[in-house]
Amino acid sequence: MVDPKTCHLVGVIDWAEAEIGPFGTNFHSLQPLMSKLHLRDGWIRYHNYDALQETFWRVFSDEAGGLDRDTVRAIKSARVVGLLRSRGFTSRLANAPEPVPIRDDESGAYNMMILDGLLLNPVTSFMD
Amino acid sequence: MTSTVQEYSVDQEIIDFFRKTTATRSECDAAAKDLVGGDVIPVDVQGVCSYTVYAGPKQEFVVQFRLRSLSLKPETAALAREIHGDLTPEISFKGQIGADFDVNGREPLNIYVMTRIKGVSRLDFILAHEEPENSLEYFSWRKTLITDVARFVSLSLRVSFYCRYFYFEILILACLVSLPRRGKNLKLSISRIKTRCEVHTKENCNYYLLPCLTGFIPLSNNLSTLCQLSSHFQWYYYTKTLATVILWLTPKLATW
Repeated sequence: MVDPKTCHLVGVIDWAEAEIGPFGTNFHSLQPLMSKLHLRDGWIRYHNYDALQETFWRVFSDEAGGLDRDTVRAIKSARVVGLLRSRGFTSRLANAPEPVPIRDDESGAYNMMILDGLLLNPVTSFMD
Repeated sequence: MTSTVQEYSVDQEIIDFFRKTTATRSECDAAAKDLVGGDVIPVDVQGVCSYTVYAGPKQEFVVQFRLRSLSLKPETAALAREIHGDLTPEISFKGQIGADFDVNGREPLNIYVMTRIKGVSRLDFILAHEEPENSLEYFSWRKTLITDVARFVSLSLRVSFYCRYFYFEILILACLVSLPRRGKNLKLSISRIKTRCEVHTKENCNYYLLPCLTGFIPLSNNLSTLCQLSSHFQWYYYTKTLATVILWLTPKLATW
């Protein structure tokens, strides 16, 4: 939730599916704050993407009191695992069937586009 | 057979939701009014597993009715509030509504009252602004938000744990192998991760695979350097998953 005028963060709601996990597992969800999925063209970065990345890691690192290289690497790897867990499988809701890997069919196509954009397309991939 | 793209209809969403439950919408609205007073107004976007309304004399509460099979974990909400304070809602459980058992598999609902976070959703913010997405205004709004979000996530780093990266690389590999093939690109990224994983596994994995598989968890030096985890349970959970994944992967990798 954001302030309607300034876009400052005022809160985070819907903690229903939140769970405790290795740090960074949810970092893939930062991507929509700096890029987006276009249904025809695939994943697209906004023009200030690089500046936003830089700002995020600088502020995050400062607030955390500095991050060593291994920690950053672990967080970035956790980010990929989180994306794959969230988009690479069918729903994880408690009352849904056990999650299985998505397929390249109608129901999986949307998620495949996201995975292609964030993992495989060299222009938009966040895999280091 | 053709499928058509349908516009989101909140009314249809609500009707569909109440087919899954033994409670009715009017019972829920009455319960919300009883609990916090004021007018009861459904939120604009409803989830598939819940019915959510604003209520209270100043519309300052959110009352949510969730399928019992998807009840909220009170400890998660409490932990989020402990870490992030007023940036997360305060949630209290207010009992159940609807009959317990139904031959059609319909469920009762759990009732939760939450404090309402002021402001608008990010989606509504975007819908309310007509500036082009690459305008200076948007650059500045995004920068404001990402700065706040960076502070937000840094709060949970202080109470969190992380695993060493090779642990994740094995999981990444497992996920990629299980997904539909994406031709050359995927093959490249798999072989890159595979090489890195082989190095890591040679270095570290033998030390802890065996104890995990037998369910026995000695805390040796090797193990504690492997993952810096905040609790025994979490360490057990993740290393156990990893062991399963490696076993499952081994035959699959031969075909890549």
